[in-house]
Amino acid sequence: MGRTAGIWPYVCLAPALALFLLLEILPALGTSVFSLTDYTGLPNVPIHWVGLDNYTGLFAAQQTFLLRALAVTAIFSLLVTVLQNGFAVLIAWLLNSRIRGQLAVRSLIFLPVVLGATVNGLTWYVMFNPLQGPVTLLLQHFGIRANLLGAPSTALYAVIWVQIWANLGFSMMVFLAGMQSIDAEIYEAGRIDGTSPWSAFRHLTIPLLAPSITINVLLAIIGTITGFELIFVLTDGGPALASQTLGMWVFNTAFFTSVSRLPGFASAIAMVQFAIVFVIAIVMQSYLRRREAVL
Amino acid sequence: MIRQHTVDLAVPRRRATGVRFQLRSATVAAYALLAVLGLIYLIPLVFVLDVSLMSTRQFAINAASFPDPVTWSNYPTAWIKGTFNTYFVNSLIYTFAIVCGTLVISTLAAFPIARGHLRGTNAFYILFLSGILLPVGYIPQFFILQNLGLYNTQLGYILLWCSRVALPIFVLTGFIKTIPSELDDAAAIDGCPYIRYVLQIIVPLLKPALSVVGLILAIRVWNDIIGPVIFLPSKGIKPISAGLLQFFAENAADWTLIAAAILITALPLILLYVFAQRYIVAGITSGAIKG
Repeated sequence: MGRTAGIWPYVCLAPALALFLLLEILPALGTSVFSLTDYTGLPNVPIHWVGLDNYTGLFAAQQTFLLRALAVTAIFSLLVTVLQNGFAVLIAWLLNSRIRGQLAVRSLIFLPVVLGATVNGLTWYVMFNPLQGPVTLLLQHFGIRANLLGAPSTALYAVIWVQIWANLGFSMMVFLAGMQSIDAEIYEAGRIDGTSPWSAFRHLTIPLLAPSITINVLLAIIGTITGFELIFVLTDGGPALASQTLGMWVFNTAFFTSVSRLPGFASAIAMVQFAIVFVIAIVMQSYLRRREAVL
Repeated sequence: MIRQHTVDLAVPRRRATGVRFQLRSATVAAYALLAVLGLIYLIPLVFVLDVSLMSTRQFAINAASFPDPVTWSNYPTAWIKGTFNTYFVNSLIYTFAIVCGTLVISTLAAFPIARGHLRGTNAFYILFLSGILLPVGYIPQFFILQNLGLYNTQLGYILLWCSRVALPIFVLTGFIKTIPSELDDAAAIDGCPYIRYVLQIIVPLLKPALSVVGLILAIRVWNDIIGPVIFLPSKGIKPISAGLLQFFAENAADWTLIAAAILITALPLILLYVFAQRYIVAGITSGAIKG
């Protein structure tokens, strides 16, 4: 059929290929081009080449903002990656048993993954609200007066909590799938040798889970550096830039600051962000794969 | 101790019960942990439900109480005040158009790739796969849509979503490869035209893969927030998540209405999750598990 089909296979390919090239590939590569211009996003304003001005601006004039965003991104990414995966693996371990009610809890933990950033974000906005939010009331009970999302010192950590709450289910399901693919006989063998359950977890489960750990850690790192949906819904990077990660900064600079939208400059930030993700992904990938091999 | 016991449970047969007391306390601890986990996930959702059924007065006096009297009117009020009618219909249109569009063009592209009917099939395959790894270029996308006159239009938003074919093509190509190609040869003898063959013979065989890919895509479209905020600023064409955020911004202090609006947006997702949980979980995590 292939040889006689002539032009038709290409006709079939064409719509997907055209859309993909125009609206995915071209834009993905195009960010670097826009980072060299003074693009404003306004329809009738001419665009000029400005060379590396956006980059020098970013590293010199805006250096404080850059360092701030880098620090926030680092805290956000590190805490979410470590805690989300740490909790997820322990919870998966607890739920990967015949304990009663585990299926219901499993479904419940995965639910936020389906509900999406706006519903999750606003739900916790209601929980954290400074007047009657249960979290606020609970803290008041212990004598702490706090507006968690509204105070620069706590906003980032409140967002981290919601981010972990919302995405734990995904990591947990990946770990559970990994655990279920481990042969039960391995544990039998371990028990004959007199291995305690904890050391079975530490020395059998964890090493055998290595591929799941690699993928979960990589997805969490990339997701926290590039993604900003929940931050956007909860704080929009505030207050006083306390929760503004690189991704949030790119978005706000390009589209959301009513005063001056600077997509050209935002493209330069996006390039820095991309470089960081690229380097970390390569380094982590090779590190985790090597660990997989050792374990 | 908790940890000890949970692994015991994971293993088929239990050890002789020499340490009964220890085991029992471990069981209690495991259940306690399970309950705490359940509550951490249940409380926020139940609280939103609780608030959505409260009068504004009761919320102001004591929000941590059961609604008395139960105020159902928050739902119709939020629905009308927030023009959720429009948002809901918009989201249905977007979800339907994007899921259908993406599945049709992805299947059409995946078939010649899976069968190697193209010169440089592998190059095309790798090109599409690269879409999974490349960063999203929001700013150039904005520029392109603006220059095509598609910025702030429904068509522009739909096309933007339909361009994300990387993952569907990856999944469908793998699936088509499992369909024996003898079928193709038989059809060729009958002179069945290529595109009709793909749509009439291959698509029905792809149903399981298409429904999972479509289901996951529908959830993603329903939940998209960044896309509409950038590309659909006009209120009349916003989908529901963006509409919810808009409603939140416009009624910032009206917590009972906001709670009702949150549940209006979440309800279709919760229903979908109740009825298709297995497929949803498998679909969302499959990329990572096969990874």
